[in-house]
Amino acid sequence: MRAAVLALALLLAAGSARAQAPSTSAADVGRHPIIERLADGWAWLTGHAGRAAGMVVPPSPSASAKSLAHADESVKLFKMLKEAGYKLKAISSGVSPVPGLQFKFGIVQELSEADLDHIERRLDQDKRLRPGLVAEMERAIILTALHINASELYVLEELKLQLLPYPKAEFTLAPREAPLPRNYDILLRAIEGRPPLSWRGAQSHVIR
Amino acid sequence: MKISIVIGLIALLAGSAPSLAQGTSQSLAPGQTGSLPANTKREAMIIVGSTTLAHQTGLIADRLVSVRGIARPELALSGTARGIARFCAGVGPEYPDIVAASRRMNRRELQRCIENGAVDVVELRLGYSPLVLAVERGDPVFGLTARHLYLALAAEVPQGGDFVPNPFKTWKQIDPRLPDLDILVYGPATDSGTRGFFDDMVMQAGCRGLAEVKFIYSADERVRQCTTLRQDGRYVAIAEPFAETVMQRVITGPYGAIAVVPHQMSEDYEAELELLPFNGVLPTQAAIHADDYDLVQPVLFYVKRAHMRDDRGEGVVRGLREFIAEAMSEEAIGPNGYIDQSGIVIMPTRDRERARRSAFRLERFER
Repeated sequence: MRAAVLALALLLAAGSARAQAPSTSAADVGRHPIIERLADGWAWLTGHAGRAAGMVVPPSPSASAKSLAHADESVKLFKMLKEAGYKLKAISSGVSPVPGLQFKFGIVQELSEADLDHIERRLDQDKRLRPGLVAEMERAIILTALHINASELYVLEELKLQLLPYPKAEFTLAPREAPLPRNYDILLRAIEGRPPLSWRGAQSHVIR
Repeated sequence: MKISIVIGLIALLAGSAPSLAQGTSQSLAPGQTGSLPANTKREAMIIVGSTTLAHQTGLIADRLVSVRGIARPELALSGTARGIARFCAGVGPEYPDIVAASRRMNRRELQRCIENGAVDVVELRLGYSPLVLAVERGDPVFGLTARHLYLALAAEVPQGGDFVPNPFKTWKQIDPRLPDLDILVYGPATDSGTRGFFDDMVMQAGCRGLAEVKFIYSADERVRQCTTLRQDGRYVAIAEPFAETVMQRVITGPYGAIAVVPHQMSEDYEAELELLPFNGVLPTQAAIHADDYDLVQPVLFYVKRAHMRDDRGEGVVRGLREFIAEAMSEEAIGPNGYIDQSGIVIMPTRDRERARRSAFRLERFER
């Protein structure tokens, strides 16, 4: 809704700017002034938007994936996340007037006490070497992840880092003793060579 | 459950976000010593913990008696891990008041303390006790990394996507730049806090990042895989008190044998031993203060605040406040203080002041 109002305001503003110039096209003769204004505004907006799109619209998902294929090796935050047991598992990129770019990290490793001490030490060193707001934000994200995982009740299962349209970190927590889906039990029993439990028509899920 | 946090907000909070390294310190009100009955009293403090710190603990005890008129503490030192286990077993006159530790109390141990009622533990940081690798003077001196030591000492090492029994017999087989000497290391046994530190800083550090290790999700399983040492005699585990025995064994032992000992012990044998660089750095005071040398154990005491006797004479034992004042005094941990002269590497002035301030405020230790 807000985007629509904004677009209309832009159109009208652009139209009024264009209205200063005399209209010379024969085809334009007889058009209603408001229609004329809107048409001019639209032409102005699409022309500029087209040129501006290259600057504001994020790269396509494939371009993002290509350039960020090795990001977890080069970007400091990604490296620190890797040490904290998280790995990049998806990149979401949206192409629109309000672009979107998001990185999704999943937990791949529990940390031991020694791992935690190691990361804390690395963060201390990083604090000395990289002062500044961005570095502080990055360290805050890592510390938040470590704090959540230090809890006995929850584990940080997924971390989303959004860069566009505005920076945001989203933490998805899961109970440490979450109920397992039924498939897990069937798989586990199959691995252990035990018959599956007969529960709600489990007959149809027998793995042979 | 989802929590969304705008990064700007995180940045604003970052300054006040609790640091895991230091924990959220909390000052406690005087007299807040738990809910012990008034008759639960003992004459002398009981100190348990690290045998490596026996000398320093004895020095502080002597000063408490001679300068501050406190009853001589009973020292029952049997290693950091055992000491912390006893310390955290409960609150009351039958439990120890202080533990000397050659490593930080870990989160699980602290949790056990809290579950058993010892909620208010105060950490005193006196300085550093680097762990060093040494050979007999005259033997080849070569630099080792955590990875080298992990590959040399682990029971199983990664190979071709799986773990196989350790096949390495000489250092050269691990890295062609190392000498063609048999692997033989004398170090602490599992009853020692130093061994815990060695496992954390050498064995786990050495296996961290290896492809085969990355596949192990469970922290417990990974730690077991990384810290289980070979049993074929190439690592000789010496029980507490291990340092003196390790020194003797390496001096009288085969050519190229390596000792893993606290720095203070190696100083006593300066004429007979030569130190090896670890991760390319020798354990000098400058390297330790600059945080460049990785094998630096803190020298710590943990004091049970619930045992402190208050102004009304209530509490388990008298002398805990005096112990803190003495241990953190400049006469002890300052330059040329008796802790400094005992071989412990003291902290820089600013760190000493910070540690003293935290101890005097009786800030609760949290991780």
